[in-house]
Amino acid sequence: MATSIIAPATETIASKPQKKLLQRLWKYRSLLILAIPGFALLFVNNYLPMFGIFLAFKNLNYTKGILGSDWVGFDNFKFMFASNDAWMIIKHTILYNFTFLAINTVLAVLLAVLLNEVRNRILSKFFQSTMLLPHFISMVIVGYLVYGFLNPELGFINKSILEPLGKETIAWYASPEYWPYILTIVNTWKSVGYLAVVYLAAIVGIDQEYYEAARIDGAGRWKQMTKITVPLITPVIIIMTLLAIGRIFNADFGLFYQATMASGMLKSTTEVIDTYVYNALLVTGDTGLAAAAGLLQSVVGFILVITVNRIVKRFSSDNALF
Amino acid sequence: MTPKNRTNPLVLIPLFLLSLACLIPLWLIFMVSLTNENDISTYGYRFWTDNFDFTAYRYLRHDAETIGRAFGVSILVTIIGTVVSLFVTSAMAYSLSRKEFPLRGFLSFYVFFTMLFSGGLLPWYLVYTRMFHLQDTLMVLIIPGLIGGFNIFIMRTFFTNSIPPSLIDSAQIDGASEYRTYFSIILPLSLPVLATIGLFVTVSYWNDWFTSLVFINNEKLYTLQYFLNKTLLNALFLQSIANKAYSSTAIITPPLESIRMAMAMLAILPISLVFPFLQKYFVKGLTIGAVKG
Amino acid sequence: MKKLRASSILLLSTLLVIGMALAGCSNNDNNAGNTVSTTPSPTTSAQTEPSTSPSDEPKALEPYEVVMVYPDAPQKDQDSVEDAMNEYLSTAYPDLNVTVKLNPIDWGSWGDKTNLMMASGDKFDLFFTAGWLGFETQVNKGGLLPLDDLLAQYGPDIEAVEKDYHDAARRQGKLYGIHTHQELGNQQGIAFSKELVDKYNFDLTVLKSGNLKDLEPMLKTIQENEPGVTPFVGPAWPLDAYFGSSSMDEVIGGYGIDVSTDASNYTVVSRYDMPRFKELASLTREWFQAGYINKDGLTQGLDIWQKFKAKKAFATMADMEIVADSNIGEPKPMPSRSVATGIEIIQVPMNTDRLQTGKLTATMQAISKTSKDPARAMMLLNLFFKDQKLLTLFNFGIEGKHHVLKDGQVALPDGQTQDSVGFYHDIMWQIGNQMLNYTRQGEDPNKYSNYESFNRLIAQKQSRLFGFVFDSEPVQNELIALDNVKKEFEDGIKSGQMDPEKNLPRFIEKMKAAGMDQVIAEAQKQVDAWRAANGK
Repeated sequence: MATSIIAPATETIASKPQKKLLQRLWKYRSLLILAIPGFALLFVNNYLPMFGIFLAFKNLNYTKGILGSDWVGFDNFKFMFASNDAWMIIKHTILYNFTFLAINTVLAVLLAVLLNEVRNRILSKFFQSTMLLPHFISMVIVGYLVYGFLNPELGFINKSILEPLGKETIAWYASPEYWPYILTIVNTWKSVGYLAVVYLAAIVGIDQEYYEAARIDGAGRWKQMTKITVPLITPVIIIMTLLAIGRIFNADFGLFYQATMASGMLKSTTEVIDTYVYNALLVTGDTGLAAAAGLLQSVVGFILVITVNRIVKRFSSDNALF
Repeated sequence: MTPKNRTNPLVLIPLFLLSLACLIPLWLIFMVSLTNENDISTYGYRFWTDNFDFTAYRYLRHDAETIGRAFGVSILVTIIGTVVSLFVTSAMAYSLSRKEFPLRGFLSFYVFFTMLFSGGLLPWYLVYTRMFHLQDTLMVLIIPGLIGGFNIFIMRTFFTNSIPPSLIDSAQIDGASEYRTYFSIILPLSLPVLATIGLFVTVSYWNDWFTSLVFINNEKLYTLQYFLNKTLLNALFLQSIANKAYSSTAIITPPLESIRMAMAMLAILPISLVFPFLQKYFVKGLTIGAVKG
Repeated sequence: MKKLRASSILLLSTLLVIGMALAGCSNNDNNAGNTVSTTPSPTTSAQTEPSTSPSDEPKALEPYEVVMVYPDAPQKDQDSVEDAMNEYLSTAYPDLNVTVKLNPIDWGSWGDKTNLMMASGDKFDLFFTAGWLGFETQVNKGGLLPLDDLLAQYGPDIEAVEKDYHDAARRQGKLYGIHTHQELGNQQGIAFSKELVDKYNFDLTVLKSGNLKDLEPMLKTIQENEPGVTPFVGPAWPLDAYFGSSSMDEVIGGYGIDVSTDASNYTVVSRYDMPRFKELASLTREWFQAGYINKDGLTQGLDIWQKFKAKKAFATMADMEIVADSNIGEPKPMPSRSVATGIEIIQVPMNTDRLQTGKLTATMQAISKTSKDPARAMMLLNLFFKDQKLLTLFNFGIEGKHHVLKDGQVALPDGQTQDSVGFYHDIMWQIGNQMLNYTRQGEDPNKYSNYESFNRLIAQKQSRLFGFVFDSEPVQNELIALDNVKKEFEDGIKSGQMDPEKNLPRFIEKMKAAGMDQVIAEAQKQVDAWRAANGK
């Protein structure tokens, strides 16, 4: 495959001066046309509703309408910091997300590599199907399942493991210290199969010639994995990580709310921004608060992604988000 | 492809364990759905029950007609949605993957921006109901799910990394138009990623209940997931207000646990049964991609 | 980078323009709805008069469809019931010229949907609301219409039964909700499994003392002799059901006036500072450690009656059913629960509510700002307070098809079940004069006369703060922070899982840090102002 012969030509075109933008647009009008349906859909579904961002700074009054409602400056944001635990909540959100990101990425890549090694078609299919199953189960049901294991009176762990061993049973839903682990396990269980599929597709897309060349050079399986597979799917890993970083301030509400059965006693280790906002809404019913919190989360994510993206760009502009 | 046709057991063991971890809960859901309610409150969740009890499924049979129709709506929405979405997403991702495309930077940013910022529920609702008057239509179940930044970026990455630019150039030197290049060279080469994104889109259409909640009032247009979820949602809501409402006024008993689990089964089963068939197609896609790539 | 900046500026400015345009458009929609509705009641007849027959019938009204929005599961035969209601309305009240459109919304989507409907200015008329369903926010956000004039003009039958109970739903002097005419409070007490009471010959009358300690020997006996039976099942027992009503007149969740003090005392305190709270918390803890209380009490959605049904429970603290001559400490059968669980249950009341403001905002009908003809909505609402036929259609469906009358009670038609009948719901408490309703077969036929006599009792026992409404706006952020702390401790302490000795002081300390004192001060200020204004 003679990749490198013509490639430089494209680079020169891309660096032509700005003033010929229209000319170049005309030249690539077909690409523009291909992008139009997506552009239009995003416009309708995402950009038209963006005026809602104003709601973060307004006290919405149904009679006055969105435009006519009074501006309240940053009032809606105050509740985020009203609690003494504000920093703890932010810390939880970020730490959990980082942990999930790290564990999920490592495990999913590993899993994808392993799956790629399975030679038996039927087995491979079986593994892929079962791994995706947790993804289909709604968080509410996951909450019940976790409860099935951790129920203080009837749960498997207390009844079938701790009791027969003669150990003290644990009041799981009143013991915050265990929950960082429990939530990590649940999250991994639920999302790792899904992510592995992305990486698997990336691996399958790798040109077989690389492997053949490596085999000719006498490289073993391990070496092929570390020297070919992982480097070649790095762009995918980078993109997935970048996208995850943008949501570092957004916790998976279902996980932190349903899986904990909303037990207040676990707050000291499980409270995250999204559950805090949800509870605040239950107290006041003012959706302006949710708009404010959402905007704050987005802005932080935005700044982070822009920063990380700039760093990525310095090393390889191909892998950057934009 | 490879001469060695046996798989290393070191590979198989962790995969088996993981599969087991994914299957066991499903089995549990299934068993609970068949367990007598008194047994559940006596013994908790168990992997086997001595008294099989089909009450939960019999209860759901009352809604057989509604469930059947909801099933049809879900399938229709999922199929149309997935096909159109794959087209729109890949077309845009392809444009964005071409380095010489002048609007690449701007459009990438345009897409990325939607992944972080959103106007919220109310404006979204206003756009679809006031501007386009799409409430209570199949369209409103399909359109919002058609495009997502995540899928575009994943696809763009694949296009950039798996398709050699030389291939495009040589095709165009041969006189192929951009459309031709896209349809007859890019798409066939990208089956692995199309299959993957296709799977994601299918799943997200199938699992989506929130769009129905917001836009659908007509019971005939309920999707299966919404129909099943609303019972759970009702139960959750009633719990969340339980200590605020003056309890004697609003006595509403939550659905039995076996019924909840039976409904979870109904939600998971169809797609996990369909999945192997879908997957056959996907795997085929994957191997074709691999061979030609 | 420059390019990026340029493009984001472009993007944002485009957004702004679109935003303005769209917001304007939605705004117009709202205004369109409002211009009609802000000029409500007295003009209705005038409004409708010119187009049709101006001369002969000045009172003739244009046809109008009243959209009723209320939380309920969708009923299969809703359309036919709606038709029957409309047919009945047109024959019985032709002058009103009104039809109804039933628009039930599932509980699970109620919050989202009603918010969207109000915010986007959808047209609807009668609307179920309650303190626990966001009534406060709906009023503040301008979603509801003031009802005073409409009520005076079109609500004589409402006034006949609810006249004295409107203050709870007034905000800034205006009335926004009409309370369903029903029981004005409850009793709280202990429910027992009769089987076990009989087996061990327990004397329940010892509870007349009003002291929960007297229950202890029974719990002990059960625990020792009945393996597998939880002596005292409960979610979050006993502070909520019992403590709340018997100990304090609440200003807002957790703050109020200690009722054990002198009647002239209006000092606002926090419940957690009250000795009685600590006393009950310690008792709970003792029982929890002795194993009398189930460990899964805090599970969301735990159905304690399911445990009775499975014969795994001896007693629980609960709201009592309203039966005739129900006195503190006197055992009586608990009819509806017994039917529902299939085992006999006895109730022993320990406390009777005082008339509280909160109870009266717990079930209300309001009229939406977007109503095109609020007067007609009020006229229809009034019918629900006087017309048994209309109520029966709404609550029990069509006679012969969805229900039959047997001995003056409502029963299912032969061969039908709740699931198969096509129209079955229990939402009598949502609208109208509940006392006019039929009872269901299996219920006490005197249910409503029991309610009436119970109401007479409770009406004399007014809370010191009856009619006072707390405006939480000034301390909104403090309340959010306090709620956050509360969640961490309160359930644990209430259920006995946390030791109050150790945790109560920590809890109070954290509450103080989160602004408890500001809330108390604000509450005190408002209570004092209210007293001054009302001469209490």
